[in-house]
This record gives sequence, C-alpha cells and structure tokens, in this order.
Amino acid sequence: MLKVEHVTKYYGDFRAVNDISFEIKEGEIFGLLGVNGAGKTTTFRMIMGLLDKNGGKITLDGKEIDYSQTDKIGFLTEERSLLLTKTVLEQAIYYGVLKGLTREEVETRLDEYLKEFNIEEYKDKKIKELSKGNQQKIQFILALLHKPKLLILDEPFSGLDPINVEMFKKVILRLKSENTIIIFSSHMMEHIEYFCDSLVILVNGSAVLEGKLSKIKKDYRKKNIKVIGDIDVDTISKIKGVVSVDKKREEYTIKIEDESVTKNVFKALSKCDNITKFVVEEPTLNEIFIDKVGESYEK
Amino acid sequence: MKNKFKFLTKESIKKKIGTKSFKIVNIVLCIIIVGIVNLDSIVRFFGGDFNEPVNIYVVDEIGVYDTFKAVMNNSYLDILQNYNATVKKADKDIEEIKNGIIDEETDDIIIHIKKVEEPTLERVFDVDFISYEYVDAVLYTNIVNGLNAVKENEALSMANISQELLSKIGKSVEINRVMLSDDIKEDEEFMELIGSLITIAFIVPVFILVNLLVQMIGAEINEEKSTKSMEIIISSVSPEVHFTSKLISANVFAVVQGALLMLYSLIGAGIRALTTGGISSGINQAIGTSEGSIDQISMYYNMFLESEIAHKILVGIPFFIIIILLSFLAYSLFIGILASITTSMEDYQQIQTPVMIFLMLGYFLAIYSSVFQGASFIKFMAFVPFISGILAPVMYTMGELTIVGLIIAIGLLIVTCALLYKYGMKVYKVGILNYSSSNLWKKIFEALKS
Repeated sequence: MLKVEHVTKYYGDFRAVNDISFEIKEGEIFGLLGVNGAGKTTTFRMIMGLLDKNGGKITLDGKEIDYSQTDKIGFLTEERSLLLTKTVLEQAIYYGVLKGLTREEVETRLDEYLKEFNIEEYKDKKIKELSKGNQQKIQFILALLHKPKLLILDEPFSGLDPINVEMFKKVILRLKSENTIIIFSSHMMEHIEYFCDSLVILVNGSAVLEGKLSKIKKDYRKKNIKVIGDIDVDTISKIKGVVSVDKKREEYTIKIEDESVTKNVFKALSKCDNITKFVVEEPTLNEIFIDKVGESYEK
Repeated sequence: MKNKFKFLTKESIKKKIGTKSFKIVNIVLCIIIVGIVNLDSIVRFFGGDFNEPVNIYVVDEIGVYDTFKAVMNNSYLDILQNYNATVKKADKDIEEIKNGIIDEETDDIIIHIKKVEEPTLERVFDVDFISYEYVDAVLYTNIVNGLNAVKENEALSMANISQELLSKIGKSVEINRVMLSDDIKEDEEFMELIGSLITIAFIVPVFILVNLLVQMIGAEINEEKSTKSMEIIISSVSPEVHFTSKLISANVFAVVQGALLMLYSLIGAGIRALTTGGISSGINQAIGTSEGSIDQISMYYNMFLESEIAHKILVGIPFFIIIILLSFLAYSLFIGILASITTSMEDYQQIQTPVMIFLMLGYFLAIYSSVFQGASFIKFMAFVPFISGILAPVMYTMGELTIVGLIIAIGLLIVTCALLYKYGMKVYKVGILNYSSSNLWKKIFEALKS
C-alpha cells in the first residue's frame, strides 16, 4: 500500500504542496488531478524520492521511500524521457539495469512487451527514428519492464491514436488485476472516470476534492437531467434551482442545483409534448473538476 | 547501488570512447600529430621552388675568390645548405651569366668583385650584387658578411698585419661566468630555458584535454536533462551516484585521450627516426645548424638529461600529474554543476564561456611566466585552483616554485574539489530537476542554504 500522509513541500517561500494525504491499495488506480502548476509533478517527485519533503511521510508497504525502494516504482513521464540516439534495446538496458534487472532479463521482457504492442521490428531502431506514438509505447514498456509495484502514469495516452489507446487501456487494466498500485494523471477526465477508483484534485498545492469517485459524484449536489422532447426552454429555465438548459442535437441537458429540483422540473415537463426521455444523471467528472477548480481559482 | 554506479560509469565511458566519432577524431588526430612531427619531411617530399639550387657566381677581378669561398664554407655553411646554395667561380662572361639568369628566371646570384683604381684600407674593392629578383634577407646578409670578412682580410694584408697577428687580434674575449648563488651551476644557465620550453609543450595537451572535458561532461548532463531522461535515471540512482559516475567517466576519457595524444607523438617521433635518421634532424633544420651538428644537439640533449633541471623535472613529474588530474576533477566538478542548472545546450554554451576564459588565463600566464620571471602576481596565480594545473608545473620548472609550492597548490586543489563536491552537490540536486531559468539564482542560493 502507498500511503501519503500530510505531505508538504516548499520551494523557498513558495508552497508547492500543502498537507496532502491519500492512500492507495494494491490493485487500485488512483487519479491525481489538477491544472498545470497545481503540484502534481512535485507530488510525483516526492513519491519517487527525488525531492525531499518539508513535512509529512510517504511510505510504500510501510517503509519510507528512499533509494532502496525506488526499484519498485515505475514512472511514465508526461513528456518523452528517452535518449534519442540510443536504440530501443540500448535504452531498455540502460533504464532496466538502473532498475535492478540484468541485461538478459531486460532483453527477454522487452521482447515480450514489443510483441504485445506489435512493434517487434523496432527493437534495434534508434528512438529518434520512431513516431511519437511508438516512442510513447516504448516509454510505457520501459516503465513496466521491472514489473513495478507502484506505477506512476503521467498523461499515458499522449500522442496515441484510438487503437493504441485501447491497447494501453487493456494493459493498464491487466496491471490492476495483477495488484499493481497505479497513480494516474491526465487532463482527459473520461480516462480518469474509466480507470480510477479514487482521486484527489489539487489546486495550488492543496487538495480541494478527494475520495472515492463514486462517493464524490454522489455527494456532488448538482445533477443533470437529460430530456428528449418538445420542451419550453424559457419555462424550464425560470424554475428555481435550474442552473442552465443546453441543447445538443435532440437532447436537452438541464443542470440543477440539487436533486430536490427534479420534482419541479418533472412537473413542468409533464405539460410538454413528445417527451421520450427523462433521466436524472450524476454530473461528469469534467463538470465537477471545472466547478471545483474554477471555484478555487476564484477564491 | 554499487552495480548501478559501475554500470552508469561504464555506459558513460562507452558513450565517449566507444563511438564512431571518437574513433574518427582519433584517426584524424593521429595523422595530424604524426604529420606535424614530420612536417619538414612532408614539405621536402612534395618539393617546390624552395628546393631549387642557388648558384652564387663570383666574378673576381682581384683574386679573392678562394678566400671568399673559404669564408662562406667555413662560417656560413648552414645558411648555404638551408638555401641549397653553392659558391662557384664564374666560368663565363658576366653578361652571359646575366642573360642566363634573365632567360630562366633563376634565383642565381652574381657577386662581381671589382678592382678599384687606388685601393685604400676603407675601400679595398667594390662589389656588384646582381640577382633577378629580391634575395632572401638572411642569405643576402650572410653573403655581405662574407664579403666584409674578405675585405677585412685584404685590408689587414694591406696594413702588413700577418695572419698570425690577425688570429691573435681576432681571438675571443675569455669570459669567466660567475653566479653568486650556491644552488645553481653555471653550465645550466640555458637549460632552464629548455626546461620551460618542454613544460610549455606539455601544457598544450592539458589545455586541449580540459577543453574536451568541459565539452563532454556538459553535453552529457545537458542531454539527459533536456530529454527528461534525467527524471528516470534519478528515480533509480541518487544524484550523488549519477554525478560521480559522470565525473569519473569524463576524467577517464581525458586521461585516455591524453595517453593517445602521447602515443601519436611517439609514433610521429618513431617515423621521424626511421625516415630521417634521428629526431634531432628537424631541430637542426629549425635552428639552422648543419647535419654535422647532430653531435652538438646530442651533446645538448645529454647535457640536459644530466642537468639539475632535468632531475628537477623528473622529481616534479608525479606532482605535475597529481595537479593536472586534480585540475581535471575541479574543472569537471565546476562545469558539471553549471551544466545541471542550464536548461538548454545554448544556455550551457554561454555559461561555459567564463570557464574557458579562466582556462585561457592560465595558459597565457604560463606562456608569459618566462618573460616576467619573478613576477609576484604570476607566482600567486600559480596557487589559484583551475589555473595552477597549467601554471604551477611551468613555474616549478623555471625555478619560481619549489616542491613545497607544488604541494601547497595540490592542497588548495583538494580543498577546492571537496568544497565544490559538498556545496555543488546541493546545487546539482536542485539543478538537474529544474527546467525553468526564472529565479535560477534564487533557487541556487536556496539550495546552498538548505
């Protein structure tokens, strides 16, 4: 289990991370969200032992993370972190041996992964000769080579086409089933919703929202009502507690302040013709994120 | 961690030495160095105008040809040989020789020694010095000197001064060289000059190697940083391990490259010995002595080997090596720290400029140290780390620094390296993960305070 307890980090007078806490169990995918400069990279670096903390504690399986533990951690950086003049094999050996593997182990595992990602022919090619997507695949493979207990994925789908995104998703879910602890960071909220069991949203280094995704959504008061039919937008908009009414193709999305408004909306809609859909939905993570981060920005 | 350190160091060395560019550069270096050592042979091999024989035709109206030829062959033979010139008695009419020179545009010279109607001690004979174009100033001056010697000889005869008396008059002044210091020997006066020349020849490779070192270590750290692979590396090994591996590999590279440069010089000298019959033949030509004076060069060489100065250099060599290796380390530490805080290769190029100027300062001080012997400023600078690596060995060879001085310079370098490592490591840890140049100095000072 990874435990982050009351961790704080200052750069001079600037507080980059402020008293954040969370824990991730084996086989759990945890979302670490935030806009640029929110403190995600600093948090990753502290988890990997690259930066000293000013306060708090980070433990993996009960042990404080230091260089005796870092071989258990795999890291996929947001930007490419590959030495472009090396071949795929040379790069794999370079990172693999630094993670405690032998050259033979690296080569065997690399062959397996290259086969899984359908890029066996690139083994002896230089990194700089590969496309952006294939470089991302190599980077992903290199983060997995030493079978890490904790895997940090920072924007893992960057530069990938939809087919490769599906390939990555499959592997990530397999790692989850193999009890890997995964920290997932992305600006694509649908990916977070797809993978993450729990999450934390950081704003200016502080956690503004944290917990189980299902609970976050349930506890979030604002709901969406999806309606298809001939409705009177003006009447609905004037109902107390209705935030907005938007139309996308045939479907209306009525945002309401809380669930109690549903009754009044339903009453008003019952007077309209041809209502073929009326569903009360929880808000998307994207909406929650924009709402929470925006709120904190205003503060 | 030990294995990772070994692996990182090996990889870094392999990256510097195992590359195609290293091999190509070294092949080129070998060719250039061997070429430089044998430059005169190469020039001669391809030939050219310089190798054309020059005939000095003497048209003699007063019967001094034999004296002139003897003077030239005895006193100015080296010059004649250098210009491939021969003194000959004109066997044709002067106009015929002139026409021959004009037609063929040769470098031949006519010395027309003309009779004067009433010779005096001041004016024994007149001379026309005839050539097609300008004559090289050295050759001209030496021929004129030869003619003056003939004139003096003739004038002395006119004044009834016998050869015996003349040789007595012409005998050199006997000089008894006295030096008041007990520590030096009189016959070694110019050996110090030879010693300093040898040392200066020694510092040129040091200068080149520090240059290479600075480029290597900076480029490697910068590459890892700019490609963000530093994040992955530092998540596997500590910055201390990473930095130390870079320092060791860069210094191993410098030592290997230095050894290779020496090997190329030896190959060049070996080829020279095989093709010209001796290393000293080039020296002979350079200083204008004849082939016959190889013995003289050998004598100087042996004198040098047996001199106090050679003994002094031999004693100093272990200290020189320590100073140079420590200077390599100091430069690589300093430049490694600087490279860690830069965010791009362009930044690094700029930041290394002051370091290179500092290195050049050491180089020029070493050159000027023989001109300003005894200068307190240069002596002081010989102890300054980064400069001492180049300057201290030269100052020691010139007798401006003692072994104790070298030990002090070594001590200062050790302290500098230790301080650079201790405080530089703090900057390095922050620098390698910093990708923004804003508030850079603030970040550095905060890192130093932490």
